Amino acid sequence: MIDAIPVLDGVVHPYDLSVDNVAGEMGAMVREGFYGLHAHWNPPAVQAPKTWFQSDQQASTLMDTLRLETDVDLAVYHTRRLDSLFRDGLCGRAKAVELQRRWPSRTFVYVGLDPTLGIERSLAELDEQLDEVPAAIGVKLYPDQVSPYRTYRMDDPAVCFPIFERAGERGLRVIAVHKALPNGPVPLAPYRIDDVEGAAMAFPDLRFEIVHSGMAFVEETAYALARFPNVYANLEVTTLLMHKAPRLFQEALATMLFWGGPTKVIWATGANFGHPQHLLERFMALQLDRDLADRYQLPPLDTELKARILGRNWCEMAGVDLDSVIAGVAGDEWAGERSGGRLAPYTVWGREVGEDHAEAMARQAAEVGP
Amino acid sequence: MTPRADEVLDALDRVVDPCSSALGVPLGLRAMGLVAGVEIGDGRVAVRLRLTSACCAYGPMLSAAAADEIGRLPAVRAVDVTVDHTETWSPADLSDGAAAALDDRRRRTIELTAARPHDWSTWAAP
Repeated sequence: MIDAIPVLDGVVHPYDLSVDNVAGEMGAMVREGFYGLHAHWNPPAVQAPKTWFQSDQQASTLMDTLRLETDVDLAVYHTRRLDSLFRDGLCGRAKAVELQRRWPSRTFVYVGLDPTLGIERSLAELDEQLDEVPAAIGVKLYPDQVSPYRTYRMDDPAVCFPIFERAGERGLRVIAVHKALPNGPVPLAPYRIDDVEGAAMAFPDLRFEIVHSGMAFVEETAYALARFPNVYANLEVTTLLMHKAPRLFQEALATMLFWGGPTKVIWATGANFGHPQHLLERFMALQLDRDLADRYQLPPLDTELKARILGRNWCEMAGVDLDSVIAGVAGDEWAGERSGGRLAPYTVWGREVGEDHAEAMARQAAEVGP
Repeated sequence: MTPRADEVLDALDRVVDPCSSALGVPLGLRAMGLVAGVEIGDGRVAVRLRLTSACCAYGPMLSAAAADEIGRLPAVRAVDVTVDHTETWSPADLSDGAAAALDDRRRRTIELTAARPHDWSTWAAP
């Protein structure tokens, strides 16, 4: 908790960015680009060394990082299906199983599907993954695949609706989709959000979560929040703007709050893409600049609103009773072990790899040169 | 011979930003505010671009297209276009015309989709 507010990180994922997991030239390019973005978007103190980042990041390392270095209480894992870039999709099914098995009270998982594989295979995989993680909350989708390039629309009844129907029948509540940030130099149109609207209209009992909301197409996202009670904005990676471009973050947040109101915005950092703690602290200190607050006629970002964004909104969307969950984990091993104070960022990861974080960063800087 | 600044900027505006194009309001690099700096001298042109997002994957494509357009100018002997990742774009960098075009599109979207802002009047002040 931070200032007595329960914190749920709406997307965390230990990536497998090891070279053995790369699939094809585009995957190799995205692997390099991913580290470049990580280094570019994070302050030096919370950048991971390249050798650490470009490895098969372990679920246990990430969970220990959250437990010992942050105020995060609960975390959501999205199984990724970037199969045409990484052999296991980048964040594979096995890690979802591990997270649910080892930290069932602290983690929630989404299964991952690639609708470009066709309905029959998608439905079979949905059932397979739900057998592996029966408590899954939702499905994670990506707009396209490469080599060969292929895409689809979420409002296409022939491609996605059978998947959504099966998801609802199996008790899933949420369909999350990566938008706004193209995975490499691919066509941008599938990263717009207009196809989410048709899906949200056709499946009013499902909730549709737009991941990376605020990074592009902000107004369109905000209008969708206003028009569809079952559309939500997930701030994964967008929260890193608080460091890189704080005014842009404010503008995106203000736009989405103005249109969508207090219940539609969901906190996420995308750890290990970013380290959650400094982002949490920046968010707790955040108020909109006066001109923005005046322009959008928004109230101060008070504790109640921040508590909604930091966890309550996701829980309401997902049908999870946040207070019960927090009460249930109050005395668990995680709570006990973190009571000794927070460790410095990436202390845990350093222990895992046998290197001091600061020394590893200094070594990397020396190798790269001025 | 050396190219004039307005010729270079016009060439940059012939390169369309993909995000604006995807929104249905195609805007050139100058109109989008993506030109961070231009240096011209003795037939040589050096351009610094900024991107709307550090996650934008179109930097190399935009740089190549900009160099190509500038290179077509008769007085240009050499072109160097780079993306300056220390530059941060914001909507304030849009030209007046571009901002108006985007506002118009937003207005039309609101009219077409009947979006209404949330009523914050019931939110209790701290």
